[in-house]
Amino acid sequence: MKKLLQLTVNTVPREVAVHAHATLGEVLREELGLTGTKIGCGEGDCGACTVLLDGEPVNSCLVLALQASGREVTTIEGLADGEGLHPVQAAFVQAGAIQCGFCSPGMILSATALLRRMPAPSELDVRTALSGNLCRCTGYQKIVEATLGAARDLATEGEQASSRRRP
Amino acid sequence: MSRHRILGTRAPRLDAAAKATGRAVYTDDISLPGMLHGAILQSPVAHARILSIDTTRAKALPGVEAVLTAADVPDRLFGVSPARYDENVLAIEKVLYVGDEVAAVAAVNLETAREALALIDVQYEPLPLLLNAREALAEGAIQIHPIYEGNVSGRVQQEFGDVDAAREQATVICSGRLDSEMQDAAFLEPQVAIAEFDAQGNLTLTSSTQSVHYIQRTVAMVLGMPVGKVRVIKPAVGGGFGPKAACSTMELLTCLLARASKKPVKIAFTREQVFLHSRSRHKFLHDMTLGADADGKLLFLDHEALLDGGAYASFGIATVYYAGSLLGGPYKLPNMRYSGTRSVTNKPTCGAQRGHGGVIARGLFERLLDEVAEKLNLDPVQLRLQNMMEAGDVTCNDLNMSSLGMRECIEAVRDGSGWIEKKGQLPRGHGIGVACGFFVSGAGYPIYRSETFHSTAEIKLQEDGGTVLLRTAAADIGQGTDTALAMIAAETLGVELDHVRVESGDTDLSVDLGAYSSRQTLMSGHAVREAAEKVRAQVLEVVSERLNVAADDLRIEGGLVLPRDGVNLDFAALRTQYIKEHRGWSDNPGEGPLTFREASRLAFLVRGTIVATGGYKPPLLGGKFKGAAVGTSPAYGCSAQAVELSVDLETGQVTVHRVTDAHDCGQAINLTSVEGQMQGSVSMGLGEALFEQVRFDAKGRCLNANLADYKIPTALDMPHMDCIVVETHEPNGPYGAKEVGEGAIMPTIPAVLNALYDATGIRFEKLPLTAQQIATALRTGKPVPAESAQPDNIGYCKIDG
Amino acid sequence: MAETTALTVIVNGEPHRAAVPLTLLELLEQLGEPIDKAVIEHNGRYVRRPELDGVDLSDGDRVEVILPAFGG
Repeated sequence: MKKLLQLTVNTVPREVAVHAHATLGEVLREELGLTGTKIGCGEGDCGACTVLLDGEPVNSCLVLALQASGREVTTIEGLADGEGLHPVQAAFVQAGAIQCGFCSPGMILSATALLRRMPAPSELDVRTALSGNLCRCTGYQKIVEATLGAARDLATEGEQASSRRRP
Repeated sequence: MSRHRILGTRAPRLDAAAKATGRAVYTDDISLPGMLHGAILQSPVAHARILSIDTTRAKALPGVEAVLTAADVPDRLFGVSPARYDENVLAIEKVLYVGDEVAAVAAVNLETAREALALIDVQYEPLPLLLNAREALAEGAIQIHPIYEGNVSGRVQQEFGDVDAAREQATVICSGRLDSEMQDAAFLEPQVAIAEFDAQGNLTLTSSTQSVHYIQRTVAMVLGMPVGKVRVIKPAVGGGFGPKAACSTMELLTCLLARASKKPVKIAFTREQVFLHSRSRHKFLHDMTLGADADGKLLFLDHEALLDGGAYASFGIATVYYAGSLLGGPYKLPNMRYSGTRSVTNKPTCGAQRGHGGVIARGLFERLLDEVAEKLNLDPVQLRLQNMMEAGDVTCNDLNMSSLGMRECIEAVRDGSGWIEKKGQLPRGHGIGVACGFFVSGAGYPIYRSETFHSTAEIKLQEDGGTVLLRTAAADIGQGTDTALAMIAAETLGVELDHVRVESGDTDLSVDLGAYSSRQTLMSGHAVREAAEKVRAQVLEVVSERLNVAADDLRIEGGLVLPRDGVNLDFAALRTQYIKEHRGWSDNPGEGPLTFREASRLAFLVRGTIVATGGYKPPLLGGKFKGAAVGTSPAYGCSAQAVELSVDLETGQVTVHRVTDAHDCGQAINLTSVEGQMQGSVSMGLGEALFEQVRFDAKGRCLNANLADYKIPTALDMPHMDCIVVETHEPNGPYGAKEVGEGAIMPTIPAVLNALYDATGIRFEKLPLTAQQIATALRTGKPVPAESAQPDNIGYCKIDG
Repeated sequence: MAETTALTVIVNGEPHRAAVPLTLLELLEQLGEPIDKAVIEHNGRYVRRPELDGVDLSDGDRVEVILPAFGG
């Protein structure tokens, strides 16, 4: 019999009946219509299904949906604020870091999570943080460049915001 | 300074924002009303006779709406080449590998479908297994496939010039071997398809495919339907690299289950099924002998190859052909002899994967070049330069290098990598190696014998003017074709890129053979250019008539219609008319020059809908495009790379520090996309060189059918890559453009082999170059020996004079 | 009255009538096949270019002409 799952997805409280064995990835895609999260292997090896669970990147194919009960999930659809692109998304688009795009949602979320906890990462920090997200198209170089570029953009935005706040 | 306004820029891709936000739709994201889920029962044994199949219990399971076995589906054979139609949708008498499809089910949900599979009883009678080419070709071996006598599914033997005579002249002769294992394309998006019949019996198949055209034809043929009643669409596709270029049993089963259940059916592969389906890189054994004179001039190549192709033919006859033919260039090589054999075995079927049959062969050839250089005490770069072909040269096997920036590529790589300071100067365990390669820009023939256009395209101006609708069946599978073709259309028309909208990957839109053989930039690009030129001409004709100015005195640039200097263009009345038609709009043209929007609106008012088509056929088939009427392809892209690496002398672990990569793509359409293909090719090449192998146990079961145990490079494995784009202006390509998607993988494996020699003094001969293999070789001082391509007992004879 | 003997050869899956005697090379030339670019198979066996005129055709023989440069 299904159980009622209550959780927050992209800042919105959601409620859905799920089987005990349903994964978070399946529920996001099939019950909540959030198909931006991709399933590349279903076994936690490729990272395409990465979402943020209470801000931490997880492979949603390995998390049981019920484990997310009462918690906050951010999917790729929840990253941008309003109409525009999140700075990490914009950086990926500009840098040519997206080819087939199947790894991109997971990659962008992993990169975003990194920058939130480490605003000025080194290249090695970036590669390490993204090492769980496989990409077969790009060779990662433009992904790394995009992430470092986004870090700089976010730092500049932050400086501009704080300088506007000064009296 | 680019002579083009849009070509050669770094325009962001048209679909990038959609992919970055999760809005891009891939096949598994699609759900249709009433859709059923399909599942496939696959053989757990590698070779067996099917004694019986009982589906009674499966059919009785609530929620199951269709169950198919061979008795329920057409027995029409299909495959890739019509000369090799060797696959049935479902196994009839025998299963030939672990994964061979035996039955299929459609049910209300995936769980029920899988439960139904478990309720199908199949009785197998095991047969002897043949798990490698040598066993399969041995005298007395059981015949695996009814069509392939002696388990030979393809053989090519060719001789150009006179190898035996050239051998007499050679001062230096180097022989060697290289073998590899079966590899997997490992695209991130597993195959998935959805089939739906409408009430009139028209079928729409949505699939993660590289070629809507070939899938459409195969589905129509197997289902016994007219081609016009079958529509194939590809939405966003998460990578292909070759295996998705031909129709699969899975795609056919979605259609057959949809027909049987009268509902839409979706089947999605698991990652394990991706490995079992394979159609990826063959296992290759190569033996080569390369000879040169005392000055280092290459005289001959004698080459034998043995391919282990798995259970069916797939692209195999082309694979075994390319494994030999792609060594005819880029060096002057007057005498070449090749004998290639492809065997079938009881393993997943291998097909075409990036670089097709040329990749492993290039690995050995470029290693032998270094060996020749060493024997003659010549710098390996120098040896390559002195033997390099020039643009306009033709290889001994008739490949016409209409443009060839090989010299520029190798010099750029030599200078950019620090080759001169580093070669032979690095400490033990640290090395640098170079290699070259090239590839076709589209195959000269379609897969089936035909005079068909290889690409057609349609451009329609939206009647209100200003928006250019490009319609093409070409497939963007991540390489950026939609954007590249939009850029060609925009450049040709003289409008800004954001005036162009692309509809693609749909058989209703045009004929396009699809994304394989690195053909679309050149072939689809030509078709698009032609359509755009015709549309442009129509618009300018109308403007010229209305405004009484010669059409030749008009140009379209940046979305504006501008007259030649000194010519007056009085379009005030036209503008007034346009503004009157658009009362209430806030973006009407103001004071500036005549806009394309106004001009194309006028064209509609005068002539009706403005639409034009373009098409491309290679010159060999009598097409009107330039190019010598010889050769495999209209043009060839080429590449050089230097790899710098170090090896841990204890563990054998390789760390790649840097790759310097130069590729001649003729004319970069989108510079960022060209670099992206170069970098992606290097990453696949490094993976194939260092880690990638599909492994089997003694029962033919795949041991590493997952992305943890089949290791592809991660962000931590990839070094920094310096990419240099060389542009030589290919006369047979649109705006001088030619390929980059596959030529760029050719030098990687041999550059690694040559760098390892520089680092360790050992000439490795087995791929992948795992730490284990390297450590063993370091201990013994000798490479682990490769298997020979020369099989025993198959009646092979060396071609004697 | 002289009687011409004819045979039927299956070429690329289609039956083709020809007069005997006929070598494989003659058949291919009659049909205008691009011999130099193709892989020629006779009853499932690959035949090298220099050997084409040494193969005498019999009734019911199967000939495949494959242009292998079809998919890189």
